Amino acid sequence: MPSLTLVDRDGVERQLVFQAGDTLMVTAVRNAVLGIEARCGGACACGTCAVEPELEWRAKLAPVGEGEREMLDWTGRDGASVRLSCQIQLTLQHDGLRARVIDNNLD
Amino acid sequence: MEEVDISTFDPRDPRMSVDPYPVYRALRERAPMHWVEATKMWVATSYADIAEILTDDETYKHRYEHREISRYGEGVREQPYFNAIRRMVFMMDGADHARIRPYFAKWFLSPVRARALQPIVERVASSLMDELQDRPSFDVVTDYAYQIPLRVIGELLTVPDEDHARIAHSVEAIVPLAEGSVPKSGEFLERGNAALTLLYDYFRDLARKRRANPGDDLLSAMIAAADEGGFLDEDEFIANIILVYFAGHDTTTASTSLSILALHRHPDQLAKLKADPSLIGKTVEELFRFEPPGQGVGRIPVRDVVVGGKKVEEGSVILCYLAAGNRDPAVFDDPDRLNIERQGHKILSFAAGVHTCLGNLLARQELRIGLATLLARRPNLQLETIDPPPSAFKPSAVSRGLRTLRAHG
Repeated sequence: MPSLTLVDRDGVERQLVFQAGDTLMVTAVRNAVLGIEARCGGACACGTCAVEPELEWRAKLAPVGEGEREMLDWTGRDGASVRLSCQIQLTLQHDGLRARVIDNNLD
Repeated sequence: MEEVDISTFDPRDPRMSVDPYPVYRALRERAPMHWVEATKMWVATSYADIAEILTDDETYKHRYEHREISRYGEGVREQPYFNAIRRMVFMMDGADHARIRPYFAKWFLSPVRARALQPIVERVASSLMDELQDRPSFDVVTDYAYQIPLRVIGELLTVPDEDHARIAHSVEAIVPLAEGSVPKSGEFLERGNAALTLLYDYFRDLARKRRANPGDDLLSAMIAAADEGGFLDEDEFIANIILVYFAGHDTTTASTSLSILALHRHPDQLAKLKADPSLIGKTVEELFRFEPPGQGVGRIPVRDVVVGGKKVEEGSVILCYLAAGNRDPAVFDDPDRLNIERQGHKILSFAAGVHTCLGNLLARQELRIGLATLLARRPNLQLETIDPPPSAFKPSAVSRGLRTLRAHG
C-alpha cells in the first residue's frame, strides 16, 4: 500500500497508508490526524483541512482549482504554499508525499 | 457505576435516552463492532471503524428502500412516509444523491451564505430574549431552543411565523419514521403519514406562490434548481423542502438544550466561558462532541466486508454511534470530560464523507449565537435541576434531546 506522511498540530509525524482515489482529507480523517477538522466534509466550503505540502511536492499536485483558490483567499491563507486537503485527490504518484497540517482554528 | 451487560444490550432500551454514554463505553471497550440480536443489526462504537465506514460511500450505503422493504415487505411502497423519505437527499445513494446535494451544498456550505445567515440568527435569538424579558422563569427547550431553528428555517423557507403553529407539530411525527429502529405500524405510522401529507400540501402551495414572486431565500433557490431540472419531479422537489424544514429544527433544538444542561453540569467550564466569551467557538465544537443530538446513523454494506475485525454480511445494517466515536479515548484525551478548550480533532457529530450534514455550518452558528445571546442577556440564569427525570428526555434511541428544561433568573 502506498503511504504518505502528515505532520500533525503537535508536530507528530503520522505515516498513513492510503488508497489511490481517496482524498488526502479522507485519509487524514480515517486516521484522526490532529488539526484536520474538515467541518464541511469535503465540499471545499470551510477551510478547516488546510495543509502545507513540502516544497518538492507542491509541483507534483494538481493545480489549485477555482473553488479552492476562493476558499484559500477567504481564509487568508498563502495560496502559494497552502492547500486544502479535501481537494487533493491521491494517486500512486503521491506515494511518499509529505505535508504539514497548519492552523485550522478559524473560530 | 452500574455494570453494563452488553450481551443484553438493546438500542431501544429507554435508559439509553437518559444517559447512553456508559453503554457506549462498555461496547467500545469490549466489542467495538457488536451484533445486536434483538434488533438484528451491528453497532459500531470506535472512532476508527465509524470514520472508515462513513468515508467509504462506495461500500457503505443507506439502501433505504432495501432496508424498509426487507423489514416491512413490499406493502411499504404504498406508504406516504416511504415515498417521501426515499426521495430525500439524506437517504439517497450514488447518482441521485450526487444530483441533488450540490444545490443544497451551494446554499448551506458556501462561506458567503454562512456569513449572510449570521445576522438572521442574531436577530431571531435577540427577539426571543426580548419576548422573555419579563418572565423570571421559562422553559429553555420550548421557549428558546426550539424557537431559534424554527424561526430561522422559517425565514429561509419564507414560512410566515403564524403558519408554524399549524405545521411545526408535524415534525415530531416525522422524525421517528426516518429512524430505522422504530416500528412502522399503528399510531406512529398513521400520525407520520398524516404529517407528511399535510406538509406536502403546505409546501406545494407555498412553492407555487413563491414561484410567482421569487427572492433571495432558500425556497426561491430550490425553485430555481427545480426549474433547471435538478429534481426528477415535483414530489421529489417538495420532499426535499420538507427535509430542510424538519432536519434543521429537531436537531438544533436538542443540541441547544443539551448544551445548556451540559454547561450547568460543568460549572467550572461555564465560568471559564463567561470570563472569556471569545472561547465560544471552541465551546460549541466541544459541546457538539460531548452531546450530539444525532447519536447514530445507519449504513448498509453492498458486499461482505471485514470491519473492526468482524465479518459483516452484505445487506446487514450497521448503526454507527457517532456519539460513541466522539468519546473514543484513542482520539480524544479524557473523553468523558467537557473541556471547552479542547480543539483539533474532527468530531463525528455531523457524520463524515459525502453525507456530512449539510446544515452543519448553520447548526454551529445557531448554537454559538443561541448560547452567547442567552449568556449575555440572562447572565444569572439557573436551571431548576441539572438531573432532569427520564420523562424530560425524548424517548428516541438515536435522536437524543430534552422535552423540557426549566430555568429562572
